[in-house]
Amino acid sequence: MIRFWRQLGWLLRRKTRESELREEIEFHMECEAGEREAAGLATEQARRESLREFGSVALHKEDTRSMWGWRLLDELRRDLKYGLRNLRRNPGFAAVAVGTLAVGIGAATAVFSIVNGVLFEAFPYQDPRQLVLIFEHLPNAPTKFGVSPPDFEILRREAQSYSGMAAYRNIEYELSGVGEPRRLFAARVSPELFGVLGTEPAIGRAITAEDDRENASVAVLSHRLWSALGRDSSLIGRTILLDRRPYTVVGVMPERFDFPPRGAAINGEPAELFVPMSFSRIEREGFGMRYGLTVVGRLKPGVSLEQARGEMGRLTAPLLEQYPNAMQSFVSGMSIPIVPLDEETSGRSRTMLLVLLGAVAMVLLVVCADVAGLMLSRFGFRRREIAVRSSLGASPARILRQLLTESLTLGVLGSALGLLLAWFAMRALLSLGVETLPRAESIAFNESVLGFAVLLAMLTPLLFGVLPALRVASGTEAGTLKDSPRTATPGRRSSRLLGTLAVTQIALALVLSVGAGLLLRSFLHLLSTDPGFRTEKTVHLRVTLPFGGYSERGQVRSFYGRAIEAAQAIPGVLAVGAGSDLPLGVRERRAFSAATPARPIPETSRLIAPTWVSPGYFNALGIPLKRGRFFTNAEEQERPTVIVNAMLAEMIWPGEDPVGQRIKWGIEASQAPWMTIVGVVGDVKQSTLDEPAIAQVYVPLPLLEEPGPLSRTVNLLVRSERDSTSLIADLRGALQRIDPALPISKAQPLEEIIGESLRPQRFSMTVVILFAAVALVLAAIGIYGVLASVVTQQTHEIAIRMALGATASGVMWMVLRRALVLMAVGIGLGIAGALGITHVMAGLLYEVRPTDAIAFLGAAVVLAVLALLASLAPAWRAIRVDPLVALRTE
Amino acid sequence: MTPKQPQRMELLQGTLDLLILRTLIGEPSHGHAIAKHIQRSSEDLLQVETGSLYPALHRLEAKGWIAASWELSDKGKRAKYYRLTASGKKQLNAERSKWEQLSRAINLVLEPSEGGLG
Repeated sequence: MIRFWRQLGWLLRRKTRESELREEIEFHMECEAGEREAAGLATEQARRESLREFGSVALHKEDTRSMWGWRLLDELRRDLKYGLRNLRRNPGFAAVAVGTLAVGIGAATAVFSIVNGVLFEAFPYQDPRQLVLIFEHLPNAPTKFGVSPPDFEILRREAQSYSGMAAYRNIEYELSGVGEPRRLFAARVSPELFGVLGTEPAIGRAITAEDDRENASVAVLSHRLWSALGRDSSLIGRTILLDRRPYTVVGVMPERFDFPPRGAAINGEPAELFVPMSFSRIEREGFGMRYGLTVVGRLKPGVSLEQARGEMGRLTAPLLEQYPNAMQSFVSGMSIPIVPLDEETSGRSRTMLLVLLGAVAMVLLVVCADVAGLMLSRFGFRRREIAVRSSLGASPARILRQLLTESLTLGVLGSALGLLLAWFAMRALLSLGVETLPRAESIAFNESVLGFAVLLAMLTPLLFGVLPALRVASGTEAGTLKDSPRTATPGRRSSRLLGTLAVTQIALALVLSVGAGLLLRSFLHLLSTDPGFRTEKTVHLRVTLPFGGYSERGQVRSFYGRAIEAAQAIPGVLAVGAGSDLPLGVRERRAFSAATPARPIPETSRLIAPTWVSPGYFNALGIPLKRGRFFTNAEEQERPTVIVNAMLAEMIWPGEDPVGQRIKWGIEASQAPWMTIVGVVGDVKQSTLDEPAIAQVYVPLPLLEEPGPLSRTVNLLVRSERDSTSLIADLRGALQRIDPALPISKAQPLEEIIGESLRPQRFSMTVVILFAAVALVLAAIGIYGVLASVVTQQTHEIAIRMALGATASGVMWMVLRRALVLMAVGIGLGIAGALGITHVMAGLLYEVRPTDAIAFLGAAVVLAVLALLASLAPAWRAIRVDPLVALRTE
Repeated sequence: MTPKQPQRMELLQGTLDLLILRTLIGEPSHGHAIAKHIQRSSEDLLQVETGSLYPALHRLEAKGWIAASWELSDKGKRAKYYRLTASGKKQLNAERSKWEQLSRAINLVLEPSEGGLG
């Protein structure tokens, strides 16, 4: 141990040590010379003799230095210098190798940064492993949903497994009073929330129990919002307007704090500010309604998830007993699922991320195979140089180490450049997948990502450097020195290795191409799915009416009326419609009952999608009328009417005409008024293109109830032959004249909403296609490399054949045959591999099987064509071999 | 007239270490003096290859058994003087007893006290 420190000290003062050694040896030699002089020899001869005695000074110095203990380091340093000099002398090879490595390492690092952010990065809360989310679930609902306020209060009182429990709910507000009015996502939070999460505001104070009790109009800003507003600390205590009502800013959260975590199915939008939950009386006493809260709890130390789940199981029955008798049948079978926080946020994207990780790993392997091939070719040219070194006394191990050092240099350079690429790639991926990726806020270039890049810099040289180095270091024979430099080409065995590498690349490229093909077909299927409505020549604008100024339903209805009128007054407009929701974005789900159903309502379909619409809504969207009529302008409130979609009609009155039948909201025992069906329209997709349509009920606007946050959204649809940009500008103007302070949250041609709903699929597809393209290019280069070296190697043979009368096509066939063999083996292996692993992607595919024949065939064809193209140049070169020239240069 | 060439005997590495340590039990010396001392003490039978001397000295220094410092020599130039350290003294005793054991064992085999294999 001490020896190590001493040697380290010597290493640091190396120069001094060197000069001391020199001095010491000189002194010794002078003593010797002096002795010989004293014995009678002349000075010069004395010196010469003692020199001879002393032997090779250099060798002794070397031996002595080796005692200093860092010969390894010395040799490595020399290897490094040598390697760098080599790279400088072959800039072409260096550029291609480093560039290819950079692409592979850059892509891998970028994907890792995303996977790291989503799956591994710790949440910005204290001990996030102890946090769980609590939901409620009814057996007849497709997925779990949020918790109802009275249930939350009861659970918080009764559950013993938690050191704290809090509830929160996303809410949208219009922010004004500071800068331009705009809409933002906020969260209503119970006062215990920050305590449960273990975070405190960085400035000011949090929301207190008192704020909550008194429904105080206070707000705590997120750090992001505060930065956007100018980081002004005087904001604390100032008033801002949320939905045009005054709120006082009391605090600002710290910088890395993000809540709710993006990606949760319910209440999954990070909030830009927080307000007190302040349940209203209706909320607090409303059993069986408003299942919209997400509850987060911190498990007590020592309490396991199973124990907490067991407790919830035991608490369910007493909770349900508190429900009114009339609801008992509705809520029978209710359960209270508990999910760990990280599982809830990132669990659903796990498949996609794993697929991405697998794809990029394959790209990296292809890159390594490519660089290995490059190095093999290059080493072939250096056989002579290496033979000289080995004859000078370098052992194979030494040569191997030197070659590996060169590989390591390439790895480090490639990694450095790759980091730069990765940074850009990461930003591109983030913007491409902006709404698809959960926890996007945690994705950044941090230590883990940098560490990963360094790891790759160390590992990839092993992958691509070992095989070529072994081949070269062990293949040195004395005969090599006698070869003329001009025939210094890769040997036969090297050629076989090159061939293996090329086959590997082809196989990997095929797997990636199959994956890309599957995703592409799936995407195209989605695009061609009939969404149930038409988007041509239609534009869409959306505003959300704030609470302040639109608290009464009369105000909301009046806005709708004026907006429709103003739109109709614009020249060139063919149809105008308005509604609370658009297809592909119908947000609410409600239970319903029918007065005289022909079939009982299946419990699994009791929740349907309601939408409030103007009479022109269906026409503007091109939704066909199947039976009955559309709404007129004069729908009366005394005799409430609704329009249903075909799915609901088929479900309750199969084969009959449902016009005239009556339905109402809620379960059979509810007191809601009956509504009469006056028409049936075609189905539209309510959530995404790949989910089937569900039953839907359209309600005329005059029947709008107490406006809640969902029904205050106004989607205006306008169909016209006019160009969309000018039409949108006119509509903006019209809306602004009605209410100048209202921010317009969306203004787009309607077809864009289809693109928006396809973002997740487009994201995975684009990335995998990109990777497949890179792999294909590299595989093609690999094939080219193999064939080029084959041709060079067999120039002699080709020349002889041509001299003996072989035709050009015969020679070309010779080269192409090699290419075909490589291709066949590679594609065969690739198909086998793809068949084995594409089932992993099944969850990402829509109406496409993981073994879809077209995708496989397409990938094989693309690869075959590419391989043939890549073999053209070498084949051409083979033909142009001049027998006389080739045979003479021997 | 050429000086008589003394017989050069092969020295094992460990033995050289032992000799160097023993030499330094007196006063500190530099490399040349150590070599000369060994030569003289062994009646010219052991002549240390100078190519082995300095590696050995540096190795012993690395192990901490001898310590070095630069002093002014009697020739007026400065030289690197080595001296024995405390752990070096311990090592010397250990090596010495090992050597004596080895030597005794070999002697026992070479001159058996009873009739063995002859």
